[in-house]
Amino acid sequence: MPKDTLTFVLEGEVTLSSYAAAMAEFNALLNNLGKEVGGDAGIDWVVDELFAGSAVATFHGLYEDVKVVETVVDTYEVVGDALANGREIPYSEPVRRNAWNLTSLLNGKITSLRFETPAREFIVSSKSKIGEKAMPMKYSLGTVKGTIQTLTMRRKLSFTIWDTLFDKPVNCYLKEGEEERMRYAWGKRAVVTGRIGRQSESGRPIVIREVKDIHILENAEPGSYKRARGVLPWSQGDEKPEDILRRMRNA
Amino acid sequence: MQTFFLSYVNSIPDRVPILDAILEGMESSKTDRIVTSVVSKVEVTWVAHEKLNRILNKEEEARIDAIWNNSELVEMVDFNDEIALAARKLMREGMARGWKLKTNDAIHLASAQWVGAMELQTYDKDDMPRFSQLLGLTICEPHVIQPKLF
Repeated sequence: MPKDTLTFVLEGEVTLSSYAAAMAEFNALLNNLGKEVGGDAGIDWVVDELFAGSAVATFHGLYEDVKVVETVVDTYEVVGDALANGREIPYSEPVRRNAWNLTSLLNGKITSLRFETPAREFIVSSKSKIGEKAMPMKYSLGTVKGTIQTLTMRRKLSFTIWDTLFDKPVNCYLKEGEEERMRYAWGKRAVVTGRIGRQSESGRPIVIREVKDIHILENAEPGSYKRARGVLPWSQGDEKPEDILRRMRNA
Repeated sequence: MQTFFLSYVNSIPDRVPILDAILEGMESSKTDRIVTSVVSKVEVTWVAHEKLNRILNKEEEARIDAIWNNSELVEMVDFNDEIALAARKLMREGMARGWKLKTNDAIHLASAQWVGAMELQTYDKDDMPRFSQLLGLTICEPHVIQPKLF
């Protein structure tokens, strides 16, 4: 599957004017990257997905030679990596200017930017503006529960789960051949297990790589929880649960 | 929160009306949930074994699972790295004040803090409530309710 998609995310309170400014600068960045590494290729970047919870925009590149698009996506990662880690951006002045202009959007209301591709993701926070290394994303095996909202199999094998706890979208990437797992999953509540990338400061899940399992949750019958009432009957004079628990925790 | 669930599975007479009211309200709410650490699943069973002096049979486990599996009602929070670090910090800060905090208490408090819970409801009046100010979190007995209770 070609690596011809990329995602750009603004986290925080995003106004229309700041979003418009960000998209203009982002467009200029992609055009300048295309000029620099794609031999002035006129790649069309077409919107694949837009989410409003954070301002999440995913694009795929259209050009006769997909390798050129892939090269631009690779350089987009390099730019994200350099910004996130306070390193010099190894490209021309126009590209560096576009990238730094994007970081100038970090104004307190917009709290971070995210550069994401099917392979990697980088979070750029206000620390990057002063040349400091941002806190790296943390990865660990775990689960995210939510509603599966978007399935994409045409250009990348991925889906979005809307995280119930944080009420934000989380991009989940599958490997080729794993698409069968997603059959009948759209719109369902599910628990996704995999390697979760989390924002360092908040611990909020951002992305799930190496999806290990997708467990579709059955809708519970209303009131089904009442079956649990009295399963361990208590009688007057019995030890209260908080006393048993305290005794056991203190043991 | 486990004392909340345990009081419900114990059906303690003076607690059940308030617990029923909370659970009914939560299940019918489109936005609010009870949030609890996955550790609760183990602790409820652990206390059950202690109380009964035997392991739970499959039917009893299935009845308790009817709470955990109702995702309209209860949201489980994984024990993750951020929660582990927050729990460790709470234990350290508690110790500096001369307060004891057991590992599982710290995990529950840190989990509540991590999800941004509005309240932590518990019948445990001994060790946890004094952490309220440290966490900026109300810790109180179960009552009917505001959004996002832990």
